[in-house]
Amino acid sequence: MPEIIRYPNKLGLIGWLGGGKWGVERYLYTLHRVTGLGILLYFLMHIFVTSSRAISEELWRSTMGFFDSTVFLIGEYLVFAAFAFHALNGLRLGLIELGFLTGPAEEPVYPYKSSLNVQRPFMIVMMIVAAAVIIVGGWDFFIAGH
Amino acid sequence: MSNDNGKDQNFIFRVRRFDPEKDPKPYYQDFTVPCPPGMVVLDGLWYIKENLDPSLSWRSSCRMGVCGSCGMMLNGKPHLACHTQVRELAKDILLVAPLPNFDIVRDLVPDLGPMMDKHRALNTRTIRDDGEEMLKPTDQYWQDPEDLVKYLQFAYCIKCGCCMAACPTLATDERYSGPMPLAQGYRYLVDTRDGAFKDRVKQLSGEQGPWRCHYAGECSAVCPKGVDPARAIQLMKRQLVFDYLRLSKLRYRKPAGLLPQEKRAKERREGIAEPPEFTVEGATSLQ
Amino acid sequence: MSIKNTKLWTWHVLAGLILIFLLGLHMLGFHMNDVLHMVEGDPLDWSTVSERAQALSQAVFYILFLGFALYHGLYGLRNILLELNISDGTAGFVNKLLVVAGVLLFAFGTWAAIASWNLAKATV
Ligand code: SF4
Ligand code: SF4
Ligand code: FES
Repeated sequence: MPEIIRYPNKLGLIGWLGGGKWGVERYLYTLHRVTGLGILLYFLMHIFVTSSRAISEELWRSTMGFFDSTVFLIGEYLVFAAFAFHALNGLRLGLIELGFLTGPAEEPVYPYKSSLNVQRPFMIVMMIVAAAVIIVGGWDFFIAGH
Repeated sequence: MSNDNGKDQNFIFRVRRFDPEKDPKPYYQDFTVPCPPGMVVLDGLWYIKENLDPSLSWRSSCRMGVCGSCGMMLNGKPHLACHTQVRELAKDILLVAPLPNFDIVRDLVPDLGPMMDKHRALNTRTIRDDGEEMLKPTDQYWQDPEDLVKYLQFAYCIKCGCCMAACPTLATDERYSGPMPLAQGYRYLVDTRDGAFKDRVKQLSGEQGPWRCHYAGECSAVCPKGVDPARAIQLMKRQLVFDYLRLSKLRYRKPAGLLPQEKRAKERREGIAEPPEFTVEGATSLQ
Repeated sequence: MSIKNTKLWTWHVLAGLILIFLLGLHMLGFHMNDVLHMVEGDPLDWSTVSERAQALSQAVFYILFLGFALYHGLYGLRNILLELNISDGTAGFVNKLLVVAGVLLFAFGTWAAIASWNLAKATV
């Protein structure tokens, strides 16, 4: 009997970006991962950088001085924006995943409405708030303080 | 549809082909298919098989969205070929490919085996300890309509695998149970007739559970039966977390019993058929 | 693997909620201060830093913060790594590595908080 050959057809990492209906929530999922990784990276650096305050005033001043440049300011702003998104989207995810925003099971009637439709208004509000925070933060970062 | 002028219109079916005995890897082949209004993709595939290339393979059976055999990628999204109209989806070219995240057996035939194994692994059947009653039922188990609604939506699943093809986690992670098996796991978790809540909670707390789902929501967006597996999975997490925090009473639930003797109908109503005899000789169990 | 995912995930979500609150305040104080004026002066100047460091409550807050943030972040990283279809052996290694990294970072951050508290007290 000939061996049955199967052709592997996993989408792989491309599948994290899209593979189905390319819904908004899919992009938010991807962005949540990317911002999460970014924040984690920054946070690990942050632990070391801010620990200079435990050694001496001079070290603190020189570390802060080192990071006092436009490049780092933009970098910090990106982390700030990532945090705003990650926090507000995370709030939405937490509420959904604990079953508060999915709606109860219901008889499917065509055209089907799913839990995606139930959470969508909240998703929109969260994204608007995130955008507002990011804009106000930008003003603080680049205009108000300089 | 706007292009529904009552006449046949030619569509290119760009079909992903793969013959394991000949082809090193899949490739696309074009077929011209005349499509009258209302024609579904499955009819187009039959047209190709009967008129253009008899070697084209796919899986289908019921032709009415019930058996779950004909899930495939149509213009990049998972659909059932038998209930998707060509003109609804395509302007002139229709991309037809097997469901991803499953190995390809041949042409449009995916290997759904691993999905079924994961489904079975989650004990997707009613588990109780009154084996004798399960084997030779004397009456129905009594369940309130509200309790029915808690899982009915998920019981409409036809195991077509469209959700599995859309899930981003399954695109990389072979171990993840996936939306279909988990939705079915939830369907039995909250069925009041089931008596294995504690065991199920324990199993789902392991790697087979819903923890690799991050609500990308794709499974629910593509499900052709409105099953909403993403909802089932989040409600499952809710049950597991609430049970862990001891905020849920479900672990003390007694499986629904029979209707009390005095409430049962005194006589069998007219015209209702007797249940059939066992067809397998010497059958001792319902499994 | 005998890891109880319900427990791990529940704390991931709870830590996330706590972080929204704590880190939210932190962010508002440090990065929207020119708009909101929650803290007097420049929050990053040594004088305000050492002033804050003198309060024991600050050190306690910082350590709590650190714990929740490390747990939430490293659990999230674990999710991503475990979904890359790595072998069971590698998955076990990833689990151990993250636990060790988390504990070490927590110890280091705790030391920094306590040491800076001592330093701030000594310089008063
Ligand atoms: S949940 Fe929907 S898409 Fe998934 S197998 Fe069932 S019917 Fe198909
Ligand atoms: S909601 Fe969960 S199961 Fe459904 S596609 Fe998204 S990650 Fe997969
Ligand atoms: S042929 Fe049965 S679902 Fe399409």
